[in-house]
This record gives sequence, structure tokens and C-alpha cells, in this order.
Amino acid sequence: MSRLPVTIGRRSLARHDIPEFHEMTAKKAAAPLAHAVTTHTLLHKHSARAFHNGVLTAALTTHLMDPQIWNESLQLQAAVMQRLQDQYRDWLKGCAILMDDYSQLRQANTMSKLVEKQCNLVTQWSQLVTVQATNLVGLMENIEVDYGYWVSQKLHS
Amino acid sequence: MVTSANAKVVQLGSYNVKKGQSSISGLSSGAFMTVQMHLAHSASFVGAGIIAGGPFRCAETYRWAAPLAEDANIENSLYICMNPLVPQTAPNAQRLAQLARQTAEAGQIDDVANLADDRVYIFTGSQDEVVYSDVVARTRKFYELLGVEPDNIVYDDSLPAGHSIITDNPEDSPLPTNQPPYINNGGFMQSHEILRHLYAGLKPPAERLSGRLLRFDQTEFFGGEPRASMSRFGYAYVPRAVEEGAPARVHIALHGCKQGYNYTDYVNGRADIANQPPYGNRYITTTGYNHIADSNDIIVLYPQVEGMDDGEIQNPDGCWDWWGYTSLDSRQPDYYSRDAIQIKAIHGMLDRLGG
Repeated sequence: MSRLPVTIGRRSLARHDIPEFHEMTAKKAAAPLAHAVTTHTLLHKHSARAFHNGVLTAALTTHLMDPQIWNESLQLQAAVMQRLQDQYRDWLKGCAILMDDYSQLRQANTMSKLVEKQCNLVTQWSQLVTVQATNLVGLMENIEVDYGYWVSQKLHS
Repeated sequence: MVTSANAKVVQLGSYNVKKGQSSISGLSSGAFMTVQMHLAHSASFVGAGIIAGGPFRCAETYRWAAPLAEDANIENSLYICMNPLVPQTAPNAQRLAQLARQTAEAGQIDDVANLADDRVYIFTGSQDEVVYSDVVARTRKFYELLGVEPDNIVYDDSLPAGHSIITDNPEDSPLPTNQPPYINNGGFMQSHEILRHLYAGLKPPAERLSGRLLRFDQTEFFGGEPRASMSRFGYAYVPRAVEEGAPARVHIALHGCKQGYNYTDYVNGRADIANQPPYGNRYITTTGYNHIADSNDIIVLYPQVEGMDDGEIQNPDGCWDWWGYTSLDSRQPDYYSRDAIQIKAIHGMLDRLGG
């Protein structure tokens, strides 16, 4: 993976084998299209799985009188709620830590240090949001996969 | 820490090893690969130690997790074989045991009958948030269904440990930690517990190591193929008595994800190569294997895997392949079989040593 270029003083630490910016933009012009294709593919996969889960759920209606089905279904829902609670707790904890750091921002003795510290807080905030968003999407996938697996086991038992 | 005498790269040598007396253990992806190796070459092993690992071909538990098989394997690995929502969505041990029997009948792995007299150590920490205990419980059931005597299985779920191999090193992480380097201080050496269960009558671990830690060129065992995701170097601890010709046994110790010597951490999606050297050999030197091996004429083999994420091979965390990323054909994955590139490489090393 390429190292991000960093210039300190007059000496650039950029790797000289990395193309100049205008060359890179020309080469990477197709990247937005590639990203769009990837997104479309993933959404298609998600839709296919949701459709398959819908078919399984329809078949499960023949088992609605089974109390074990209801019991396990409630367990699944409770597990999801627990995961959401855990994520929310982590979100609050992360925000509290950042608020505390901001309120205790030590006095920097140079302008560059001050800029660095303030930007660090912004980066850490962004990181917190990234982790939350990733975990939330991960939980959605977890629910889809586990629900489909659970229903298929019930139908085949 | 003992290092090789002059820090050079050697070719893995041969020793007076008792055939069929080898064993294997691992953590996390190393544990999943331990189960795969154990099944694939059960004739070579007397037992296995599994720390936080799931059953054989766990990633194929539920085919319809995604339209494409390779995607389904990844979804299964994450959401069934690591973090199932409830026990009912953990891997199905019966189905996977049946799959193991079918795989053996197809000639892809050794006969499962070889497992009957094997000894198995299985551990899960109650605070493990990476591979849930429900999954590891299925591993015990899996082995029981394949005919391993219940008395030969040690299943320990009693400790509030995080996802880790446990040591008694003061500088290691607190016991409930679930973070790299996944080596936690619990006041004892888990590697010693594993080997004491796998081999009866072991002597106490050596106070001072007598042997050499060799750095060997691994690439000859996987042809240097990038899809193996294996590092250039592997390591082996050879006790002095074994170097001088004493009969030996081999124990293969497989590290987990993010624990190979060449692993580099990613920060915000970018390899932190500016500030951090590769992870190093902490798993090889501080987990206690070498000390108990030294006093018992056991060679410890440490194969190494590394992170790779180039669009074709998606293994950024440097995990052993337990979901099929090395398979050439995703519709016919072979990651679990004797022909799998990583399994072939590791067994090739064992063969070279003489096991």
C-alpha cells in the first residue's frame, strides 16, 4: 500500500515512484463507476437474501402453532435488542471520552501543535462514527444471515 | 528469548521424529486451521489443542447466507462461526460431522476413524467477544460425534478470559481483553496445559532453553504462490537433545489473525507502515511452547501467515484460511482438504521434519 506523502520543511518524504496528481486523476477516472457497480452488486445481493428470507418466512407460517418457534423468535429479538443496546452504550462512552478530551485540551506551545491536537479530535470523532456505522451495518447482516439460517433449520427439522 | 545462532535463514531440516506422534494447536483462525489439519491428516496426529475455534468446514454451515458460495462462506464465518445471535444460530455440529465423514469418504481427508483414540483440548473464554463460546461448544460436540472418546476431550469454559492464548507473563494484557496481540495474562501457561493433555507424562518445562529457534524459508512449501497468503519465513524451535539425535515429536503451533511475525496494523484502513514495524515474533517466543518442548524433546513448528488484501485475496488480518480465500474455484473450495495450499504447506513442513 502506498505511503501517504508527507512534506517536512523542504524535504518531501513522498515516494518518487508514485505518479503525479494529474496522472493519477486520469488513471482513476473510472473509479466512481467501479464504486457504483460494487454498491449495486452488494445491494442486489442484499435484496436476493431478503427475498430468500421472505420465502422462508412464508413457509414458516405452517409452524405458527409451535411454541418453541415463538420462544426462539423472542430470543432472537432479545439478542438483537441487546446488541443495539451495547452499540448505543459504546457510542455514548465514545462521545463522553471525546467531550472530556476536548474540555481538557492541553495548551499547545506552537500553532502547529494546536492544529494537530484539534484535528486529532476531529479524526477521532470521525473514527467513532465509522465504527458505529460499520457495526450497525454488520448487525443488519448478522440478523439477515442468522434469521435465514434459523428459519431454514426449523423448516428442515 | 533464544534466537538462531547467527540470524540467518536456513532450510528446514530433518530430525529423528517418531512418525504419527505429532500434535497441533492454535488460537482463533489458527484453531480453525488446527481442526482442518487434524481432520485432513489425522493419521499424523495424536491430538489437537483448540483455543477459540469452531468445527470443520464451519464456513459452509448455511449455503443461502448469500447468492454466491464464496460470499456465503464469508457471511457464515462472521455471523454463524464467530458471533451467532443466539445458541440456535451457532454451527450445526451434527451436520458438520456428517460433512466431515462425507469428505473423508470422498478421499479428501484422512479416515475419521483415526480420531477415535486422539486427545483433544478445547478452550473458550467466557468473556470472548470475537468467537463466542456457543461456537466452541459445537466443536466439542463435533469431535464427540466423530467418535473421540469423551474422556479424551478436555473442554474448559470456566475462565473469564477474552479472545486470547493465556500466559503468565506480567507484561501481557489483562485476562478479559479482546484485543491484539491476543496474548493475555491468566497466571498460567496455556501451551503447557495443552501439551500435558496431548502427551502423557511430560516433564516440567525447562527453566532455561537449551535449543535453537530456527528461521527457515517457508516459500519452498507453497511454491511462493501469493494466494497462499503465507510469509517468507517460518520458525521452528529445536531442543538441543533433538539436534543431537534424540527421538522427538513435533508440535505445530498456529498463531491467530494479526499474530504473524509480518502482520502490520491498519489504522483507518491504511497500513501503519510509517510508525510500526511488523508485529514480530511474540507468539513464537513468549507463549511458553518452547520451554515445555525443550524438556520433552518436542520440536515446535511455527508456520506463519500474513495479511493480504489485493482484491483477489481478501485476508487483511493475516488469518489462516478457514473460509476459502485461497481456493482457486469458489464453487469447489478445497481450503479444508489435503490439497489445500496452506494445509499442504504445513504438512510438507511436518514431513520434512520427519513427522
